[in-house]
Amino acid sequence: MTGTTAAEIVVTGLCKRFAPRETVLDGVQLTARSGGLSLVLGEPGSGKSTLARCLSGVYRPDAGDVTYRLGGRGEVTLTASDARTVAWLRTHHIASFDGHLAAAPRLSVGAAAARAARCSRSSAIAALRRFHVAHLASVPIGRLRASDRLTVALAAALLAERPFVVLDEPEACADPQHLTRWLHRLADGGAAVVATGGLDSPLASIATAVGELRRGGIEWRKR
Amino acid sequence: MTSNAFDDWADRDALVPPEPVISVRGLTHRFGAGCDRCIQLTGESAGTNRCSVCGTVVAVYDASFEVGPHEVLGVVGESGSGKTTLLRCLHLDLRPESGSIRVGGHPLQRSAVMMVHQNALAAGLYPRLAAESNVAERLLGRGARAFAEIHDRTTELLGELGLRPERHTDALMTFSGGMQQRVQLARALVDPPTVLLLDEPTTGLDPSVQADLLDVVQRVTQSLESASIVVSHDLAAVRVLASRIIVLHHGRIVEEGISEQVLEDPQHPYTQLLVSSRLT
Repeated sequence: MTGTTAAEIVVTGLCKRFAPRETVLDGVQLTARSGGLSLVLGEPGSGKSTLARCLSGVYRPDAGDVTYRLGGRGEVTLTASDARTVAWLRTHHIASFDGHLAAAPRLSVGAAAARAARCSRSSAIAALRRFHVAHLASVPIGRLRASDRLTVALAAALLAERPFVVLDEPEACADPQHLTRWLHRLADGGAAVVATGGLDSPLASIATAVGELRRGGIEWRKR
Repeated sequence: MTSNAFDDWADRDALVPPEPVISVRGLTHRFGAGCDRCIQLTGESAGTNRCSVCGTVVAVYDASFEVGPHEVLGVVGESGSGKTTLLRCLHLDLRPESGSIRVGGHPLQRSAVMMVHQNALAAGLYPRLAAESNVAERLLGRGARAFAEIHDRTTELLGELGLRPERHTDALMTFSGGMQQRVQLARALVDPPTVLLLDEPTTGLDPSVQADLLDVVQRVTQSLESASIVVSHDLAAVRVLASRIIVLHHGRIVEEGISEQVLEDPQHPYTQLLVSSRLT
């Protein structure tokens, strides 16, 4: 995937506060490089989802920078970019999983995944098969249970195979073995992957960097 | 790795978006004679878009945005916020008082823009003519003359948009609102416009028709190279269709962001109110 297009996600001094609650992220530093998986662990409520959403452009941080670099193609600081650039990055360069897939409710699961990942329906169905939800391919997405819908959203995000991958607690929605294999494949292909997970995340065994999110900052255990 | 997915991003050699198709700068339109204090006495701080001195309504003030190819921009806001005036300016039904609307660096021409209206009559369709005749009329306008070619193309387009063949020859006035919008979209596909405007595409339709139509509209906007702008009250519909949203309030753009950002992390108090008022 990479060759001359090494991908890198660099986060510096990231802060996010939700008034009137106290600060959720306070000076987060993180670097994810091509071929690596940076795993951020944390207790429920520690700010993992907030971090994932700041990285994928859904949340606007109060301070700090999130920069995406792609080899010779340049770099974009997400936090300093206009909405059009953020939308472009999310459509073409960042595969993110941070919630349900927004799709027309009557659209079949296979078609919705294919449309989200911008690939063929057969590729989408193959991806759904890996997460044991291929039998839902012809079901309208509006009729899915919330848990199945999350699994479909995760399959669509991974299927998109972008150079930057940001996943919020993916292990909650997929078989760990298949997920691990898929993330290996993405990293081997040159993607820079950031994932969040619970303290006992099965992804820790394959992560190249593991940190724990505590009191708004990441304490790195393995880098 | 699937070659499809790889090609999709590998072929894009830039991390920044391409040049916009349509670029709107400082668009302003007032209804009324206007006075020196209209702008100062309206907007967010004044809590109204009506000037208390001269009664002029500042429908849209200083609106600036861009939309690129294959991109869909959502415009949301309450009734009277300026959505329709903005759309009418973009459709050249109204001549803006100031500001510019440029397509490819040139002033917008009527031939470059097409609007899918809430109702067929406003779209200039012929209610007594068959659905296929309404589509054929646009094909004829684009130079098609062979009957077989016109018939095949209209059948294909209406079929693509989910209209059953037995309804193709029915008069448009016998169609539901959702079906009439499909006919308008079929006309858009005949000769894709540079800028496609969608005015409340799901408003007034029952939920099952809305759901079907959302799929059709998404398919059309993704397949066209056009820049699409969808105006709607329906935040759920806008989230499905648009990658970006601008929020209008008292004629001003008060917030702009990617759809997920605006709907999940709204920054402006009005957007926060709008989002929190959604039925769940």
